[in-house]
Amino acid sequence: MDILLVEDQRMDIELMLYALKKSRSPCNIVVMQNGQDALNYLLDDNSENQHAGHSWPNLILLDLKMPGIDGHQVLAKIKQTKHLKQIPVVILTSSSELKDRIRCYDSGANSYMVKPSSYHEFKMLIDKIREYWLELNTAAEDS
Amino acid sequence: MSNNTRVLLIEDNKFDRELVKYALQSSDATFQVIDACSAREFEAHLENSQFDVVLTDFNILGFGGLVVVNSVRKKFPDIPVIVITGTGSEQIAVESLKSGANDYIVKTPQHIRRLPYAIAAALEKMRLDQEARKSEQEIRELNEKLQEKVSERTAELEAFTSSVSHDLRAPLRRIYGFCYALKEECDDQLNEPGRDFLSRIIKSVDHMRLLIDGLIDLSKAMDKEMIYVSVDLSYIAHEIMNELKNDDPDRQVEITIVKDAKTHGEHKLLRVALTNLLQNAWKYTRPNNKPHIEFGILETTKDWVSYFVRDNGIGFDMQHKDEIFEVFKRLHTEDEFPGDGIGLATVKQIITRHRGKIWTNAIKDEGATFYFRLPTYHNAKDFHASNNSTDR
Repeated sequence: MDILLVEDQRMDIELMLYALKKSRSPCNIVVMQNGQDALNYLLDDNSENQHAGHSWPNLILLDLKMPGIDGHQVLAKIKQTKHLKQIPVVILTSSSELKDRIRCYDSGANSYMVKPSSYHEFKMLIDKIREYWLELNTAAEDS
Repeated sequence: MSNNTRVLLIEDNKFDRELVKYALQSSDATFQVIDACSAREFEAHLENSQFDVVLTDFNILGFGGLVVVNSVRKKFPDIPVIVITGTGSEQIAVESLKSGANDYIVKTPQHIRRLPYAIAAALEKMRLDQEARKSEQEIRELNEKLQEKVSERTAELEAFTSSVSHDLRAPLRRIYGFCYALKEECDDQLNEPGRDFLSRIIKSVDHMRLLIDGLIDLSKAMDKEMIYVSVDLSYIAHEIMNELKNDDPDRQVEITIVKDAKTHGEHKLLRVALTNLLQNAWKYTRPNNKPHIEFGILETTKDWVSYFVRDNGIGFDMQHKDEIFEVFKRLHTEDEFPGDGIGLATVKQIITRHRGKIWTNAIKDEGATFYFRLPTYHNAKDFHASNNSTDR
């Protein structure tokens, strides 16, 4: 699996999947629609259903504003967990607030992106994220 | 205040006490006299504080009248103290008043008659002083409350603008996205009117996006923390003009940019301001077949530098010179010149936050010049210091 997308807005998920499908080299993606599901998925070592023979995602795309456990909490948990903290986490949010940005980088986010309002820019951004983190960047572990 | 005025009388001479009481009785007001014949009695009464006014002899055995004045002043700053003395000398009078006594009366049958009036006047003065202090206090509290309210409201408004802008963006991004998905996936299934409708939707969404981005810029211009650095406005102007040329390579525009226009200010905000001014010049010179845009310096003084952005575009009627800086004020239709009506309001906000000034001069159909004045480094130094105190 290449990308874990944590995003609660159904339409944003669809647009993201559409943009990735149209991208030059499509990749595998798993979607979790809230923070709790994402953490269950990432932390549940014993579960056989999803993790059997599985590899960790090579990249996590994380939304900040989600009901219940929000992106900040998910990020903090990932970066505090030994077997997860090396996975690059890219924050993908509509918030350009300084306090959100600082909090994310403080918790160990690898990158912070504000969702562009134009679809062209959004598509370009998804392409660039995919290219940078999955092709150019050398990850801590081979998947 | 009760009709019965309680008088603490500090006097060790029995005859003098009788004289004072006689003087008090002869007035219309009623007085209740509390005697203190020694230092110890005075101190005991001072503790109980059951009096409205203090009368004290100047020469009391054991301690002087000035000690009484000081002790009462220290404990009850408001209670009037009147010094009475057998020997009327100017020196005693001055000393008494200097140490805080309200009045000074000589103990002769002739002068002592003034005592009831002196007490009434001192009490009236005390009442007025207290009232004045109370009003001052009330005004101060009201003022503080008002300021609190204003900053609360300002913060609320800024938070509102910023969150509205961001929350509006999300659905818009989806509309935009699905329009493009529709265009990419189903273009061949749409007929001519269908494709036309879709392109109109996209155009409107794009316009709305510009409006929201403009609002976000405006709200940033209002509440962004000011980080003062050295800013090269000439360099920024070149960058902006290059971006405009790249986006519109077919246009030939003569561009003049003054060298080394440097200032101190908030880099990001000044860039936004200059971008808006130059974009406007770029846009409104479109109908001119020999367009010319100039960024220059009008005047440099010890305290201020005035810059200008001049174009030979369509200009405007000077009767609109103030309203063009208002939010959502537009002088043209969207079809003539697309725009958000927020740009110049944002520029004004940014220049004002730098304690500068913006004004304009234009002739319809001949061009417009926008001037802005920024304080020099030396003129804004104190301002920088207070603004940069936040740790970053």
